[in-house]
Amino acid sequence: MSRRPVRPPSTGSSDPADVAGTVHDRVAEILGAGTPADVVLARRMVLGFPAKAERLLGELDGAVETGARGDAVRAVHTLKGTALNLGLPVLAEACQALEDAVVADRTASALDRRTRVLELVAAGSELLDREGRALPEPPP
Amino acid sequence: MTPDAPPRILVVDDDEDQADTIAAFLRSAGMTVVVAGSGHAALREATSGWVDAAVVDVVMPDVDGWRTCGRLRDLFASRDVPVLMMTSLPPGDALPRSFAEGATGHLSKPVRRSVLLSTLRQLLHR
Repeated sequence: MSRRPVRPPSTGSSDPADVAGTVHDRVAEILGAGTPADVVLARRMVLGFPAKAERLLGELDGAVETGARGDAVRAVHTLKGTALNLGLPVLAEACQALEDAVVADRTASALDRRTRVLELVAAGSELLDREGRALPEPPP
Repeated sequence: MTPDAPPRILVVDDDEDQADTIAAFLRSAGMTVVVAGSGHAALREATSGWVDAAVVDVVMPDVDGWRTCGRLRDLFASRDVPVLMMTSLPPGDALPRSFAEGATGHLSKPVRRSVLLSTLRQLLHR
């Protein structure tokens, strides 16, 4: 039997103006058919985003302080994946830029980029809060 | 995979949210899912139970997704088990490495439900 590679097209908008719509669409996709398990997952991811972002940025700072560059890169990479998974492509791009600066050990550049990431985390948290309030209540 | 049994898919990601998202997409299509939070856990699952396909994140601590893929490939040497890699790394960097490690397919994050299911179904029915 052949083992032929399958390469589907990449997806995800990078247009900042499209972020609110992207978040809404992605949350709807995660919510799926809206089974109790889907609701629990969507609520956990959407409402848990600010705390998760704060934890990952804390891990980044701790890793940078101790010179654990691999851990620093992984923390930013996880935040980037989280952003993509929640329909926040602009934050994901900012995380990629920060990841590149950490990999290249460009401290000044990394600080600037961390600030940008922080701003976008705040903006993303607002959008997700709005989405979260529209989600179904969790099952009893 | 017997004709009547749903395919059993191993999902490997150290990020619980990402793993659970993929697992939910697969379960919604009637597939059975086993989640592993690390490369080591994935190998344990693949050794102890039947797996029809694996969906593996690339960037993970300890054993990364590419090494996990290579080891799964060794483990599945006698069977043609699809291994689908997923990552938010730039495709230009990640794609060649994924296929060099024996991956059958490669998905860029965010992984869309429809893309994941159509890709996996295609791979399972080759």
